[in-house]
Amino acid sequence: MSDQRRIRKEKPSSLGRREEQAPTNLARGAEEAEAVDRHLKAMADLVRRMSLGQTPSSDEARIIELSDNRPELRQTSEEYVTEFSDSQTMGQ
Amino acid sequence: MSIPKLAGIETEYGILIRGATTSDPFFASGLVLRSYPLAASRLQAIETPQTPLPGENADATAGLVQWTNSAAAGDIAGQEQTAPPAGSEAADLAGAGSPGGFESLMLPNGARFYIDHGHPEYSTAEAATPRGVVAADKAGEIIVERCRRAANAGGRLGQGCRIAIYKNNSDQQGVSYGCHENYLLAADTFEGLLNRKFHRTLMALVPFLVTRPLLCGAGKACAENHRPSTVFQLTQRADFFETLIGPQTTFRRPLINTRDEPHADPRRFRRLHVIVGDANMAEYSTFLKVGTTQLVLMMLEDNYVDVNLMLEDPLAALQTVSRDLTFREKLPLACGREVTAMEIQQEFLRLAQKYLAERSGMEALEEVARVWEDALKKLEADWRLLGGRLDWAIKRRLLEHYLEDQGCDWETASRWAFPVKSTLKLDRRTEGKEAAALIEAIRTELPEEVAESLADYARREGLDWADYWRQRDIYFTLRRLDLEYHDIDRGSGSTPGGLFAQLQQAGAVERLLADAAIDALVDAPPPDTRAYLRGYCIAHYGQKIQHVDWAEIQFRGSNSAESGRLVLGDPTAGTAGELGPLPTDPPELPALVRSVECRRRASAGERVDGGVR
Repeated sequence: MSDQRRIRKEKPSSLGRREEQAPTNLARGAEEAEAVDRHLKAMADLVRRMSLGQTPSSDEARIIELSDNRPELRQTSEEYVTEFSDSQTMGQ
Repeated sequence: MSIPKLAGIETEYGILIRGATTSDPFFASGLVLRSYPLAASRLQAIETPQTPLPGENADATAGLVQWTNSAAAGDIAGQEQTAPPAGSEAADLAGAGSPGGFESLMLPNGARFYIDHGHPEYSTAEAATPRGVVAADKAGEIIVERCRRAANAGGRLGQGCRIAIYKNNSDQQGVSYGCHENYLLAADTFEGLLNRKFHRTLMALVPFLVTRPLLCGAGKACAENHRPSTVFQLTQRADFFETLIGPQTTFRRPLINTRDEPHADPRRFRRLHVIVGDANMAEYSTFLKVGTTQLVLMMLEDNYVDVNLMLEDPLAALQTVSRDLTFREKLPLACGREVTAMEIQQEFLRLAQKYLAERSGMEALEEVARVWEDALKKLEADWRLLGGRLDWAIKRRLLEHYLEDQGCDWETASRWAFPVKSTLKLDRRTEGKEAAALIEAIRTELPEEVAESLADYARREGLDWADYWRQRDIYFTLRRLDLEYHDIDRGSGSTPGGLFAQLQQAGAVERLLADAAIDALVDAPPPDTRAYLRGYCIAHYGQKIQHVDWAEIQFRGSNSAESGRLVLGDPTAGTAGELGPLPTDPPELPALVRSVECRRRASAGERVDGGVR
């Protein structure tokens, strides 16, 4: 698999350590931003393919919008999933 | 002849505050609940519904739509301890989610919105048709989403924090929360299915429910609760069912839940509480979930089901059905035969088609049978044909696109699931280094027996540790996509919503309903059940309502004539068809009661004269 297609993660895992995890949502370095952009592009491509050919006007614009309006989309998948799992309570 | 199978859906939503150091689900749920526009709707009713158990104070819920004047005053006073006075500032400001604070709202659309086990829960009003139930369920999504947005804009969250809500059933790590269905049964049918004729439940209802995930599973990208590992299965909930029958819902969940709270006149009606379903995003999935179950219950009530499909081990069968992506695995029956889940569903479809052909006036359920048949045919030909219609198929297609994009497949992802889950404590210091560095980290940071087990497993499965970090990312991204699919954020302007919303907006998901049909039930109740009258009263007499639940409204007016109890003991009465349009300018309460009685009598007379009855 080429590096361009990889969804990479630059920070150590914060699994089970929420106190260290939260600050990573917004403050990211340039290297991380690049990895995040690759991830978001992969997500956008995925959704685009699923949308029967209807494409967003610009992938770049879309990625910027995603990041600005929904900071959690900057999280890696592991962070995103773990933050959710750590917050749920048993229901019915 | 079976009574109408009115139905409703109660959904516990997953919730968290993203970006927060700690996310208290009770606090988050409280913020969302309190964001319901109380003032705008004049919503004042606050109380946890409490309906007498069967046989206990049955008179309280007797009758169709029954007004009891003044005698209710004592009861009303007795309930003040748990609820702020109706219409008071305290009601609006009571800390939702805090001890003693209100945590339940009955809405003008006849639904209930409350906090349950830390989750925001929305129970739709009763609806008579499967389309009506779907519309009520999706209207609930809109209400919860609007409240979520209002809560996020309310200034109570820290900078960079926002509440996210997911209509799913699992945290992917062993915690589940439910999406329950409720069906109206004749009292005798209920007693028979759960007691005297339980063999009918085993021979028909259980095999139907166990194989129903083919139609209405929401799909899940993992296994939980110490169940056999898999990377994709049809249902969110199958991993959490551990016993055949029981009253409990939060542990050792039973396939058949015996909760007996009729919320109606218990001498005539009962409510079957089905807890073995998933929360669905796709309209067609909900339509089939509810519609096919309504049909099967009607046939059972009419003694029309003549099959014996008793499963040898229903709990094991549910696991098999959820994990069988070929749809060909055989399920052992108690009689010694073996059948597939598809064959069981085909058998119930055949029965339903025959049942419907012998009756008239069943157009709503005839549509269910057509969609059911179409789904089974497509499933038999190629599941991808359902990839824009049913939740599990849409999600499976989405995840397979992702895997393909990564040059991976289910088999490889499945082989890596065990090593990834066993090494979650490893940080990423070894990423990008030689595989030897990772192997050394495993040896030094994990217990010796775990490290040896992993080494054996890797040799046996031919895994290359150099691929570990990429596979770990794939593992979590599959789960992320699963989770994002259920994000109820519908997006706005330049902000995208959850994955399901994006797919639907892009035309990748087939719609059953027009938006107008859903929007109509955001503020107004379904017209074809008692919710019509209940919703009207809540919308127009909020300040005079002391207590309201599914089967009863207690009023406390300024004088004795306006104080009393409106009992809605028959869920099929008090409908728009029976009462006609109710005044937009609400009359005084006694006048409304007289008007309702007159309309009901007139409606009953017309129906008798017209020969319908």
